[in-house]
Amino acid sequence: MTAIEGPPRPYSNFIPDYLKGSIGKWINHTVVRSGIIEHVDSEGRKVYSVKAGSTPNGRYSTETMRKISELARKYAGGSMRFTQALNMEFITKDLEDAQTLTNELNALGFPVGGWEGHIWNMTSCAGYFHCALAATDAPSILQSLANDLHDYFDKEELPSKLAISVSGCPSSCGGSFLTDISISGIHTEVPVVTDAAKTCDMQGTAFSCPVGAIQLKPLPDGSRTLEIRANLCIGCGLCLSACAGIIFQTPEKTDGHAIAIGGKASASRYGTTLGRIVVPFMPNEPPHYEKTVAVVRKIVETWKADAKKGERISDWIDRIGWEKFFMKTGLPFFQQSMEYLDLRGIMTIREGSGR
Amino acid sequence: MTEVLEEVRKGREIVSEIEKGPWPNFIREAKKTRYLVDLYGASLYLKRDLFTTGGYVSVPGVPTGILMRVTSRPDIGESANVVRVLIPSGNFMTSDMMDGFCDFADKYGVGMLHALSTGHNIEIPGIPKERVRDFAVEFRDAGFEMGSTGDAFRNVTNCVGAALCEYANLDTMQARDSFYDRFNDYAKYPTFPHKVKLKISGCPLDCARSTQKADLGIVGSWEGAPIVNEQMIKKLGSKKIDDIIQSCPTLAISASEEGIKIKGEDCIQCMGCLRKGEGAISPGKEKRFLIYVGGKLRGKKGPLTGKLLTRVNTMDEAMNLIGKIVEVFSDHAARKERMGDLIFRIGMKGFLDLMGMKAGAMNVKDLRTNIFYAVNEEDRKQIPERIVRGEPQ
Repeated sequence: MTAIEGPPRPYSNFIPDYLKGSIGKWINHTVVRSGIIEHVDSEGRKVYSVKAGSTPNGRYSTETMRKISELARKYAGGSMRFTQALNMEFITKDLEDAQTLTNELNALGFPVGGWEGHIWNMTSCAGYFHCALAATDAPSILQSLANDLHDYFDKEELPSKLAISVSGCPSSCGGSFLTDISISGIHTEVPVVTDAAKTCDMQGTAFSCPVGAIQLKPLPDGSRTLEIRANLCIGCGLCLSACAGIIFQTPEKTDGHAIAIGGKASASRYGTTLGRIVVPFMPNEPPHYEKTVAVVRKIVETWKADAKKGERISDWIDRIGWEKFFMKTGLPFFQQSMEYLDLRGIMTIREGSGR
Repeated sequence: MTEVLEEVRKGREIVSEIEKGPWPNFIREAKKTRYLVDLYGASLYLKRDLFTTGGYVSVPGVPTGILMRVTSRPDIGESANVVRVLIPSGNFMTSDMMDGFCDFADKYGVGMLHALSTGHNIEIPGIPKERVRDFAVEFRDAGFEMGSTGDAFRNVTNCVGAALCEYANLDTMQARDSFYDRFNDYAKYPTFPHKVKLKISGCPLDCARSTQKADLGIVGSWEGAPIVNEQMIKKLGSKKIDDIIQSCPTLAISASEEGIKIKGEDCIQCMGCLRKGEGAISPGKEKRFLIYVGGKLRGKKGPLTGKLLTRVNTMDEAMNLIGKIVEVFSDHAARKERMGDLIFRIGMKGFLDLMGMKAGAMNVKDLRTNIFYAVNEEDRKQIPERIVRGEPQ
């Protein structure tokens, strides 16, 4: 085996040739149109980056991927990248190429857009597609949202950047809590301990529980197993990854998802914020998730009408306050949205947990 | 043709609904491949995840990078293991490289690529268990490397940095390359209590999300005032200059004959003026690297944002510190405890003590409001002494 160690390096082998002379010399960028951005360096050289939307969970057939790679070969110096927000980005030498590339991408079904006051990215985790822990199918929720809101990606203007993400479980692999609108799957059932749990690191599994709901239970034959106290469990799913013998197995699945808003990854001005949960539970209703889409649309449209230019959702809420937010959007306030960390920093959510 | 199971039939109806709509569609893509759309449809109908984790396949020389997935409904579809691939810095890929991935996906997988996963890896799904070994051998011969699973350093990601961005204080892609030159063993062999993520951002805007999504973050910054290009700032006109002055949260900018003047000691490097400056304002010369620890989204205490550990002056120092932090983490974290949870448990002061560092005002967001504190003999002696001596830290 002639193996390399680590990822392919150095990076200069993988970027377009016309970028190499300008590294570290950039002085400005301007948005030509939504999705095309012009970069100028100190010697007056220009390149254009073209940003295209991706499928909700980034799955592509090799057929499509080969077409995309052919476009990169033709217009973007034989190289392309994926942005932090998992959109496709092509870097072209002149504006004409950028525009032709835009047309070709549109013909393939990929919209070009997402800079300044638009939706920047919509990302989701794998959901039921491949993951073993998902409570909710993230990509189909995002697909419904994206179909509903796609005009804001390349056509209609918003007050500021808007990022949307959907994760299938509280692990937040999709990037929840960091985006303006984020949806996270939540487990509603209590996991079950099977016989296979005897092979796990039991103490470690008990330690992994944030609320101390897991304890070791002696069996009559002298061995020990784990016990989950249902009245304490908050459904975080952490024990499932600590021990393969713990599973969810209720016949009727009641899992759903929560909607959080006002997350912001950018550290500019007043720093980063995490998303806050406005809707604590929505049921999983494939294929179109109409209720969830309606709530998100309502939030986006209220924000669009009410916010000042340049205000992201978190800035807007900081200015008007939560009371006005619920008044303006017409959403009901749920007491389940309130912070539930008690003085000892222990999370207690279920009533009568008896701590 | 045998009769179709009810959940498969109902699942197909749901899937054909999802297939509609203007946005790029993952079902339309999946249907061009050999992916088991029926299994996915059935899980949507049952509202249940039909995959479980499926043990390990031992491949010599490949300790991380293979995710085993077993179906819990073998009557509908087979298992679908996933291979995670490390890609070059900044997620740049050449067309030839992408074609190479496509060839492997066609030959061993189901003809589908996951580009990109949220951890910024390429994933090749659907490789049967028996073929994983063959795949790994051929894949590594072709010059690619798998990784980024298990309790090791997950894929290090970075913003585009100096390669395409005028705000960058460091060449983040170079930094990632040098990380793998030095710490590849940490990334390859799963030896930590839990996964460790490192993200590198070129400026405080933090596009790489290094303070939230990563246990360890390196953020490029500078000391003092940003550099103002006098010729360019004059061309902007008075209205835009007013905008720039108002964008400063600490009121460090004032108007002057040359356009604007920025008071260096008041600047908090928030990037507000740089974004309004249209190229006339650029980051300062004296570079600093901020090291953040303990950010995460998952884990025992829920989402936590990273805390500033310290500022260093060179990338070498930053990398040395990264090495030291993961050693402390390895020694003191419990099994399956993320760094953020460790810091939550022992406190930032406890973590700094373990690191052998002294706490400074940069480590706190706010000071203690609770008056109760057991003042000991040592405190009684040294606090007044330091006040008299006027030691700042």
